[in-house]
Amino acid sequence: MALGHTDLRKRTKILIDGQPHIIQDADFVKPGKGQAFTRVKIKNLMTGKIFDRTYKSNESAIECDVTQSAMQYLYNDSSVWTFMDMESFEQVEVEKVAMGGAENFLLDSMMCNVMVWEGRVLEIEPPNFVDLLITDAPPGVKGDTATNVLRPAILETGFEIGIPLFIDQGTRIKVDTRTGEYVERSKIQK
Amino acid sequence: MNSKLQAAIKRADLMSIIRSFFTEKGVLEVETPLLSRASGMDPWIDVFETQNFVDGVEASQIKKQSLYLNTSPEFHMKRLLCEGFPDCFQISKAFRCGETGPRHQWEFTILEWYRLGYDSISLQAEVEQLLVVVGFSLPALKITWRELYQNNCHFDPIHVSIEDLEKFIEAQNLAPLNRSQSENSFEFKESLLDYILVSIIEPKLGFEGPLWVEKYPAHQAALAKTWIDDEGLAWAHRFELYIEGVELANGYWELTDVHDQRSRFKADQTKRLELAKRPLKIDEEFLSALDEGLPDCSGIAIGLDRLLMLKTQSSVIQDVLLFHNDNC
Repeated sequence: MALGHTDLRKRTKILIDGQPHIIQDADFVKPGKGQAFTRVKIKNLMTGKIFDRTYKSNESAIECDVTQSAMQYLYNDSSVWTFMDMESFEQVEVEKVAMGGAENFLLDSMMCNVMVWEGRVLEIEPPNFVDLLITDAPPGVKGDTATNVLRPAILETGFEIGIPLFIDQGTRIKVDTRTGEYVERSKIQK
Repeated sequence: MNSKLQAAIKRADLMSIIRSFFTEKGVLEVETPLLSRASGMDPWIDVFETQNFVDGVEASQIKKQSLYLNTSPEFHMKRLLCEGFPDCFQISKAFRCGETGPRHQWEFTILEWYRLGYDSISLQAEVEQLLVVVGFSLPALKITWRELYQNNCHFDPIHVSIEDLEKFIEAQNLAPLNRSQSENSFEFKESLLDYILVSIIEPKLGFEGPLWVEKYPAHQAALAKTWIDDEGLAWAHRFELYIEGVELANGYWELTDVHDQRSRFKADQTKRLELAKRPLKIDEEFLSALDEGLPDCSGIAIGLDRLLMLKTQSSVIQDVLLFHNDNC
């Protein structure tokens, strides 16, 4: 389906030269008199390449038909991540470029939202918030009590994150997977 | 307090300040239709069209009448002036299809007013009085459309070539523009100049005080009078106001010549067809009013949502609206 330039919004998926792309940012601008422009930042979902493009008001784009499925994460061999489609119970292998950083927050059997285009996985979306264990956290500098200071820590997934000084190694924390940032100490510590 | 309620209170305050400003000056508040039989023809403004018909009647018996949501109250207000009305103002909704962004909504609020016997300079002075009343600081500065490019981009927009504009865009790390099949080289150059204006120049305008941009090229006159200078170049008595990077107002020393107006409508119609847009019929009611005679006057429209954005230091228009395009 053709999309007018005003349909080009954040998260819209379009086809360019036969390849699926996602709009990461869109900015509609218009002079007092004259035509409008939609300036977009686009990511090629097959190569991961990000670039800018501007659509004039009479230009259109082709919508990319993608499906979203719920899939369960099974395991990885550090080059390929394997998921199971919860409807068909088929196993799907995903390459690193499509993981897009989601691998930093994945625990065994976690449910993810998976974007598929023509049988190929384009994007993995983990839950917005996940609870992860801090496996390594060097102690903070004594006396530095400013509340907004973060120190580096390693999560059980191997991801490095900034945590507040009062959080210790072995604590479970809530992480925002969209920003990769610490949110709070998890309610349940086990 | 809830920020939505605060926005409503600030809007109500602004409306009441504006109404007293004009009442004290003896300018009459008028109310003109939002829904009308004809519409504006600007090729770059898309109009909401709707139908007047009684539902539930057998389809073959229905004669549907097209009506348009107004894109500005301009034609109706000018028709009142043609009928002999005095100076008048209006706070009105206006509608433009497809416009959604940090400074655009398809439904927005316009303050528009007309002053008989005023030229550009006297109307600009009155806008500045209003700016002070609503809380902005003067003095306002002035710059011409040509100087915008000369001062900010170091080229003359009249003589610069398409190649140099494309090189400039590349050097600014802006994505290139494609030339459309419908565009001749003059139109493509206009697209490039507009693109540079909104992407590079506008964000810098009006930070040293309100800034008037004036003397637009005649082909961007819209509904303003035009003149020809000593160089043989044609210019328009159109002026725009910028504050802190926001385009806030657009005014004209109004075109009163009915023949000029008809040929501008025809040019708009031709352009609409080139752009593969649906044809719109010319507003003959407006033209016949102009034929009766529009007194010499100037008029201006101010985007009130944007004015509220500036007053409340909001970066997006959604913050000053109670409902917006994504939740209305």
